[in-house]
Amino acid sequence: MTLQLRTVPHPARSTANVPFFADWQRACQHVQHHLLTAPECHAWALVAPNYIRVLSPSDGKGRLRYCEQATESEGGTAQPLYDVYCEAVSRDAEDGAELQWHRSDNRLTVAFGTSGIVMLIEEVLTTAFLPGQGDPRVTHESQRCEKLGGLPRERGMRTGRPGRRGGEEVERDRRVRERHEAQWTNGQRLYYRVFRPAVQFVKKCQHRCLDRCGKVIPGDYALIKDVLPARSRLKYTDWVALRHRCGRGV
Amino acid sequence: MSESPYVRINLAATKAGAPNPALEVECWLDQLEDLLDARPETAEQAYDVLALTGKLRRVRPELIAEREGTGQLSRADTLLAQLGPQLATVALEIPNPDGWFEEAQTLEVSYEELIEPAARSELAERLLSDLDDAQLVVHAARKFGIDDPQLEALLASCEQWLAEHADLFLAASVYVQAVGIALRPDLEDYDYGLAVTALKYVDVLRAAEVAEAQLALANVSPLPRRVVRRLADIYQGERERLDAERRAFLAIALALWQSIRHRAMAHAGEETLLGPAVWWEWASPVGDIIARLTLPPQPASEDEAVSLEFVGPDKQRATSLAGQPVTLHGVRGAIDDRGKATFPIGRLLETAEPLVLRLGAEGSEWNLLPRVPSHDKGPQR
Repeated sequence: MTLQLRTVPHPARSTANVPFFADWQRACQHVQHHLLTAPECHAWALVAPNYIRVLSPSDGKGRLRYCEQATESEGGTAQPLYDVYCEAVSRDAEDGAELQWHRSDNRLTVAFGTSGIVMLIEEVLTTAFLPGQGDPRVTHESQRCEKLGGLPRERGMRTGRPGRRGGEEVERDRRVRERHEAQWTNGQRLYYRVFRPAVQFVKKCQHRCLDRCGKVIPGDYALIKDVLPARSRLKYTDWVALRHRCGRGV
Repeated sequence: MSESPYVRINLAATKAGAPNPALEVECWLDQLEDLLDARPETAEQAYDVLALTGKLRRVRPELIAEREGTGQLSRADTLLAQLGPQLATVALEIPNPDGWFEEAQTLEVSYEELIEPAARSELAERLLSDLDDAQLVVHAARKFGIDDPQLEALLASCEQWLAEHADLFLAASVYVQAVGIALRPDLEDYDYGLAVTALKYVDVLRAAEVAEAQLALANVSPLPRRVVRRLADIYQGERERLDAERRAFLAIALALWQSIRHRAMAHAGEETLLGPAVWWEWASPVGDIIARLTLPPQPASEDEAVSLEFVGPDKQRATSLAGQPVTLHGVRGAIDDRGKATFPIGRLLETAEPLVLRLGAEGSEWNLLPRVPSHDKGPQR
């Protein structure tokens, strides 16, 4: 059975709902590119705890299988994850409406919620994702490599110095990080791992979405950069208060 | 601010107030605060604390105070006073200049690919920022007495590459301008080592200035007024001549049409005499080939073929043009292997583009030559 499309509330129009993607192909594509792709899938599991009832984000092969089946079944088999996705986006759309974290430009509305989801809405929702969860190019390569059954080749300055940083050092740091994060609450994990990087991404869009003469490059997420509060008003305790105001727990 | 070596007030974005230094400072303070709250233990955390502290030390103090960040910087100083050498030792595990070079190639290639401008901007920004972090960590380590000449040499090669390819980083020009505005103008006196880490931003700013100057033709001195006047006169004269030629052509075309119709209706033996053949010449854009159109004074019918001949510098037919498409008076044709293109006269006479000749796949327009009175008797070539 083909994917059953749902609707989400329009953050800028209090009574309106918009389709959550135009068709099953686009819906599947976004599920594949955002919810089934590492590292963003781990962030989605924090935003929507029901994610792990559908599949484990740590199971790379399982995600790949889910992705392939979704296409073969015209989205039918992806319905559970699509519903998790839709539910999470709906809640953040409501946050966006409550906190006025949205901005419209002609037919386009960009909104942001307290989980850190950025969404773009025209006649239908055209995209919703968790920004700041990795370079899109690396993510794209990771998708390609996962299809080939391998891991993406890392590159860049921060990939560790050959001869100085091997598996042992990486493992040591992973253990330290896990030990540290084990003390976090779910709320802190969501705040530090998802919300904060998303806010930083959106704020940094201010410069990335300008050409070298300072003119705005159209079609960007920078529209909402000005609607978010300043850093000093977005600390963890502020965020908890905002979540409560939106009727959400941490 | 205008006296800072890191600020170029003539750049369009800076002039328009687009770069927002506070935004970058705020992001750095945010990241530093998270790290300090977590108390850095991993190599990546140590690396980030050292890099961010270095970045913020380069910043104008008032910008940090405005963002309520002075406390963060003091906390970082306290931490580094306690654990600096230890953090620096593990932080030096992180930077991989070869990995940076590999990613830098991606930026170079991205200019030949269809890539979102914002994605290119992000990549350029990350490369700059990654190199900056590595240099700041090395600088901090050196202050704690930990030298790493091998890494320093590799980072120097990265910086050299960046300086030689600074124009690639113009995708992040507004970010660089924002960082430049954030930097304290007296950085060189404040901490020479930190000032050295900021040189890459100066390279990109300089490239931005050159690019904008080239776009604006800033270094081209204006032509003297008398030369401009003379050129305008020549242009005006040429335009008037072409208009006159076209008017003349339309008059001739009308007469030829009347002749064709009259002949069709006339009794045998009756003829309308228009005088000698009329002709026009065009020169190729380079000026080496002449195209010549001759119209008969008494065409038999509108289907009568007329030729456009192409003559080379050797006064021979330009057969090298064989096969080239040609458009005369808006009518399409092709040059044959005798260096001629033929058209039915009727179609040339009812043109919307009188006396316009275009040649080749790109349709380069040829220049209509003046018809001097003596030539009215026929081509002298």
